[in-house]
Amino acid sequence: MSLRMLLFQLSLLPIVAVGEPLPTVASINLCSDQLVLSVADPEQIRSVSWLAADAEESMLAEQARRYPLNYGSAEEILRFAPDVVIAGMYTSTFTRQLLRDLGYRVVDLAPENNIADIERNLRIVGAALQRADRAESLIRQMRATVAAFVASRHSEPVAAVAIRPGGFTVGAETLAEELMRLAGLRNVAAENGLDRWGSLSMETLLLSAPSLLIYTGYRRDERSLANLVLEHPALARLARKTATATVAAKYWSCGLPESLHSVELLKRAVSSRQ
Amino acid sequence: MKSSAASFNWPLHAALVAALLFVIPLALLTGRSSAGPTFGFGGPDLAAAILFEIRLPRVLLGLLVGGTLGLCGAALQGLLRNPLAEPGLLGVSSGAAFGAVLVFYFGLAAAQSLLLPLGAVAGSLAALATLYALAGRRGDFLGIILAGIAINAFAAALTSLALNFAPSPYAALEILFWMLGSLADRSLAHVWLVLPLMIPGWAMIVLAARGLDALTLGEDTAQSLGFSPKTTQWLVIGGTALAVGAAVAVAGVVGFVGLVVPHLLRSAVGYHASRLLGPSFLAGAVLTLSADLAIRLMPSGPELKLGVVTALLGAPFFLRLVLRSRRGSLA
Amino acid sequence: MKLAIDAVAVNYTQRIAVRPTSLELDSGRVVALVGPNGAGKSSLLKAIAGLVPRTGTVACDDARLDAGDARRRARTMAYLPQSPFAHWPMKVRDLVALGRLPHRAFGAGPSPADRDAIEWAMRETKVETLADRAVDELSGGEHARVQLARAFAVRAPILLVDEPVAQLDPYHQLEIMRALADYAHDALVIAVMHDLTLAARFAARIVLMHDGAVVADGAPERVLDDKTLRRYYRVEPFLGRNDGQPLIVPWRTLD
Repeated sequence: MSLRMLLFQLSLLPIVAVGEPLPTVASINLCSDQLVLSVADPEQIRSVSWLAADAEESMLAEQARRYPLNYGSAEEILRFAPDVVIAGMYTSTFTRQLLRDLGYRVVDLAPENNIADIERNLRIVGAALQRADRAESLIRQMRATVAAFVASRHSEPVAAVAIRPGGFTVGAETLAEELMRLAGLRNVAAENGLDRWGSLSMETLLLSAPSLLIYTGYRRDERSLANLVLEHPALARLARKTATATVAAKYWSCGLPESLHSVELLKRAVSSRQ
Repeated sequence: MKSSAASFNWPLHAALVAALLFVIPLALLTGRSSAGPTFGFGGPDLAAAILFEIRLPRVLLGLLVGGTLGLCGAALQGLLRNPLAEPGLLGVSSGAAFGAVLVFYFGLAAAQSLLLPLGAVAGSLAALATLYALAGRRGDFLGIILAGIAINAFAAALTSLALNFAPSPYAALEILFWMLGSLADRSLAHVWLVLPLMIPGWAMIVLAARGLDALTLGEDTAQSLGFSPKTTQWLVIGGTALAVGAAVAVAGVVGFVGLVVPHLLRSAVGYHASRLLGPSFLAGAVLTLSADLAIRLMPSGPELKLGVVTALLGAPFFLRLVLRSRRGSLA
Repeated sequence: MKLAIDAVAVNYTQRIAVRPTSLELDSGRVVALVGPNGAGKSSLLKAIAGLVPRTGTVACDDARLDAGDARRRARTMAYLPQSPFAHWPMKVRDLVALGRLPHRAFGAGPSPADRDAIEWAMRETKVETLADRAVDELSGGEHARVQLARAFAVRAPILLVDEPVAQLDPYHQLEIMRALADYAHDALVIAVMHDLTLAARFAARIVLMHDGAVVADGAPERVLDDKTLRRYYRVEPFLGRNDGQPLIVPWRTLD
């Protein structure tokens, strides 16, 4: 059974409620949606945002489709009448403030830049929804999985670079980079001084001589300028000489226990190139 | 509509007020859920919150922002004696947008969303100060237009720079969406925030009204009629900076209202710049409220941005204006 | 009513446009301000109207017109520039009505006095039939008369006009000069002019300027004589009389 299926099934374990009913929740942000879907009981969830139901965006799309969807406006949330609203810290500034003005409890989550952040956000959501026990159990499983990855790292880290649509790459101190390290890779972009987000010039990319090219797939069948960059001839030439792997963007755009699945994909790519 | 020096155009004002009284209740009644437009206020316990805290601020702001844009567009076209003039021309809107972007960039907006409008107002006032520094001493109209173009270019460049260094792609996206212009989920607090800036701005423009009439005949004649062109100019510019700055602060960049509205009404008021101000305010409000209503009436999906709708309506109109002026028949 | 101009001078950054000039002009006549190009006529007119920075004082009946109440000054002096234009294609009556702005309080509609003044001004300049036409549909002559009507509508005791007949055909030239002479019955009209015959026929007093200074001042026959014209205009004139009025035709240049 794959790690993903295991986590999914564990998240569905029925928990017996004792005493008061658990707080109901609505979420208006893709990352907070997925955290809520992971931690909350199904009866608690009043609504998640429409992005959570999109398989390109969300790791839990199938699960999200069972719930009413919202487009993130205050009026919709009022109609769902949740006890708690979970949102992202950098989005919907006006909506969050209006909901607070209307007397709602709004919990803002900072983006997840590493595994510790995932744990933090799981705990925050768990506390807000009185499902701290579920949150802790997810954290324990994550740590076990991470420990397993660390233990199975044998050889020298392999030089790798991740290419996102538009020529962006992942820099130092991002969740993606920590996951790459867990898979036994070293992020060449970070070594070239790239912090957080940004693009690596095609030239620097070629000169850095990575052994593994990671494509983050996002709507690959749709034509866009961003996707065209991935077809750059220089990149294609490099791809002929090095191993490549594809990791769907949804694993890295938000931080969840499910994001660890991308480590498995990368490990398989590393071992298959030998 | 016939007009002459002696008559106040009652039919025009009545028609505009009637249009306003038609749109406002519709706008108050219309909301939006994931399934598309909704009418009414939900259950009895929700009605007060939805009506007074969500829909009413949105309608009030639509009125204030739309009216401001129409009024300032009319004033600027009268001042510059050019039917292609617009509040965005002076760099006020882009200065305000940059001020707000700075607030986002330093992460201040996360804590308290009212800081965002305050940043925008500071930006519009900075743009005005720069305008004065660039064109103040000579103060001639061409100098002001050139200074406005320079400020627009500079503010746009600074905004791009800030976006380039945004703390996260989410912040950059949020800024971009805000700049597209929207009235969604604003609160009464925003109404109280803009009024102290808009009201003095409007007052300054109204004070300049007769000077604008006199300027129809050129600066020398206007001066001989007792109206200093410089005073008129700074009243209009200062009033526009305050009022439009506040509008951009709260609603983002909503374009073309200030261009289209005065243009449509000019002949109906006999080309008197002063008579254009009131109807432009009313018509700007009607146009903005209607566009905002149209957004909510769209079938299901995320809400369109208000600035996008006004641009879709206004840009073809602007193009038609440019073509007609090239052919020499702008009336 | 007497207009006293005392030591008025206009200095632009590059040159002196008007040297210190003093004049006393009485109401009830047309005063023609003549001289070759660049003599400073328009600058002096603008200086009197307060439209360019100047030194010296301008007083009407011993009340200074420089500082303070712009509206009072606007009601006292009306000004019509060279080649006047209107930016918007408004109706003729609305344009003429702009002349009443110095008399109208903020926010007030036009008063009966305003309406009378507008009708009177349009009659005097013979544009009543054009009242509802748009100004951009008028011919050059019609436009000039409408602009003059705007200046008339102010009903100011002092009227300053800069080349009022420059672009008009002979018929309209005579019409406008007659209207100005009628206006001057109980007002002072100062007109910058190039046509010397018209100036001599319709003005009671000629002020001749050359190189920024007044070089001759007095009745037309005295000022516009053969010697003066040769000296300051550098032309050989043909001087004659018709109907008892002077005829001055520049005939040949002097080199």
